Amino acid sequence: MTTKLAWRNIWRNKTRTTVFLLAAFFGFAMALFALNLMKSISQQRLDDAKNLQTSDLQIHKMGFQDDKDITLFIPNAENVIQKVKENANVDVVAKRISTNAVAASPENSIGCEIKGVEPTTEREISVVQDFLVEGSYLSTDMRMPILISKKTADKLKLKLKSKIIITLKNTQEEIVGGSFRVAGIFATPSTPFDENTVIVNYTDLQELGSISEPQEIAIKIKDPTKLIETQSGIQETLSAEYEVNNWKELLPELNAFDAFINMVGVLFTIIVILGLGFSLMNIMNMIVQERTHEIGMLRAIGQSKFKVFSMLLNEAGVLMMIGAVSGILFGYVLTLIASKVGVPISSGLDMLGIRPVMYPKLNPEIIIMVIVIAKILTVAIASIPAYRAMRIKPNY
Amino acid sequence: MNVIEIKNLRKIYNEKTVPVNAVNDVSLSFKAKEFTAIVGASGSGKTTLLNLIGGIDTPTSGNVFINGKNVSELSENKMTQFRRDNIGFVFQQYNLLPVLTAKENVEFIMELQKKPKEEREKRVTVLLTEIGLADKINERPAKLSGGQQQRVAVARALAHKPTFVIADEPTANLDSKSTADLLNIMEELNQKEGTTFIFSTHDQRVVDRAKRVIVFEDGKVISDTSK
Repeated sequence: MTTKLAWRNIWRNKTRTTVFLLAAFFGFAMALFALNLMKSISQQRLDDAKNLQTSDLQIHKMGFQDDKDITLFIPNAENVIQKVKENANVDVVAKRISTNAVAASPENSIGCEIKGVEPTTEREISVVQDFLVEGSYLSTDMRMPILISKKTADKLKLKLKSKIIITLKNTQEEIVGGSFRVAGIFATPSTPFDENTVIVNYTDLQELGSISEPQEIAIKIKDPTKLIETQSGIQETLSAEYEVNNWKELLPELNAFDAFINMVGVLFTIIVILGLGFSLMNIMNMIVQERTHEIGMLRAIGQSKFKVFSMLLNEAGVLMMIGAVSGILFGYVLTLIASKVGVPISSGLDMLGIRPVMYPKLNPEIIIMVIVIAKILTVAIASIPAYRAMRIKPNY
Repeated sequence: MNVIEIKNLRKIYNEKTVPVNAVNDVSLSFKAKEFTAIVGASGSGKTTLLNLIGGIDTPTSGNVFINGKNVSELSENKMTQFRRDNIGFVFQQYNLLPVLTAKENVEFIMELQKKPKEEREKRVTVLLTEIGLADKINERPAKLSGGQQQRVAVARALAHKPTFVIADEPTANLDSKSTADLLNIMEELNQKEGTTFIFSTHDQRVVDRAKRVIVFEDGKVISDTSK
């Protein structure tokens, strides 16, 4: 009878209830949609950065991360790779050489980070090939191939098969240069990556820089939830001269951005639900005011204070629940549609590595978070008028 | 045996400012199956007395014993429970819950008592038949006339088989026919169920039907006659 009574009581004033339900419906739907979009943007930035730059884990010689000195290579790299592959959660291992260089064309020159990769393994660990807009990945049928971004190509006024001169400091501290040919042009969602990176074959860079061993071993893992566990497992098998970092440590600014987005999401949800909560409190106060006589009568015929309290809480709960459930369902449908058709994002945000069109994914943890916050706030806010009702003396 | 016994009951309002002796040293007793009318002008203290007997209000001094139990000493929660289990109320304004049907209103207190559904339904059917509203079982109060609503209120007051029923001016808003019908029903149930009825009224038609009439004036009993 309690729920039936609550249901009928909330419809005693149809206009008031409808207005609140509409507010709750749109509030929850928009909150859920916006949170999913924000979370997806943050997740996409992380995924892109991880897939393009870091992969899940990286091994370096201790100190390399501080100044990226070309001489700080990984001793006995093949042994290290073998040890790493023994870890059950390791999927792909790739070695890389990375150093600072100057890329020049007859028209212009830019400072960049040159990466030497093994095409076969790198393709399994990185997604650069997915963003090729012209040409192909580092092919074997071209001598000294190089991948550059569309942005770099535009700056240096280069086309496919154009020649590009790379100058760098080798391990003997000598300035050396090499002529590469553009094999492919990529355009990734990450502007910083595009503006700063050129990719060549591992052996070509090894030769140019007189580098015997890689400076970086990139690792892709099978189960991303076991990131820390895998990281410590690998670190334990290696000596202290090697440093194993996970992508969160390698991309602290993105990790901080993700934490910031999460915090903004929680705050946004609280603000939306708080707004609804105060509207609910206003309604509940009106209900108590209008039904003071009736509540007094119920107390007179034997309804306990607790029952009065729970009756009012029930009414608030039913109101919020209808609004929340319908709003969440609508938000779910909206997100589902947006995940297919995409949401255009302001073009200026590509500087932050945000794609121009986002396809938000539905995050179950966001739904749970919205429901939990709604529940807690409903109980907290409705408790005030319910407490007032509970204090009404028996009367008739 | 006395169902209700009132000893030196006193209720003073505004004790610290302008004291009003609403009930002034009243001692009374009511036996089982009594059909009593408390009569008096407005402001004579009838309703205050009923509120004290019904445990809705607490006395300034004196005691109310119900079935030998001093209810004046009960805590607020215990008193609520006591009212729910032992007392039936009929109010001048009917006070049915507008969102519940006649049936649901009648079974409401039994529901509070957590009585089994079967027992509730059986009792509701019996009572609604007794009051002649078996065909209105699923109607909400708004669809019932004043007289019908008050009959439902009587059924609600009796549903949980209370020791006694307090009725505060139950006929004040009813026409002659509805009043006669209601009194017939209450008389019949008083006999059948053996429930004590105490009315406050200044309706002569009720006084005429009462078996005992207590006249109240300025918070005091000035006459107490049994017919």
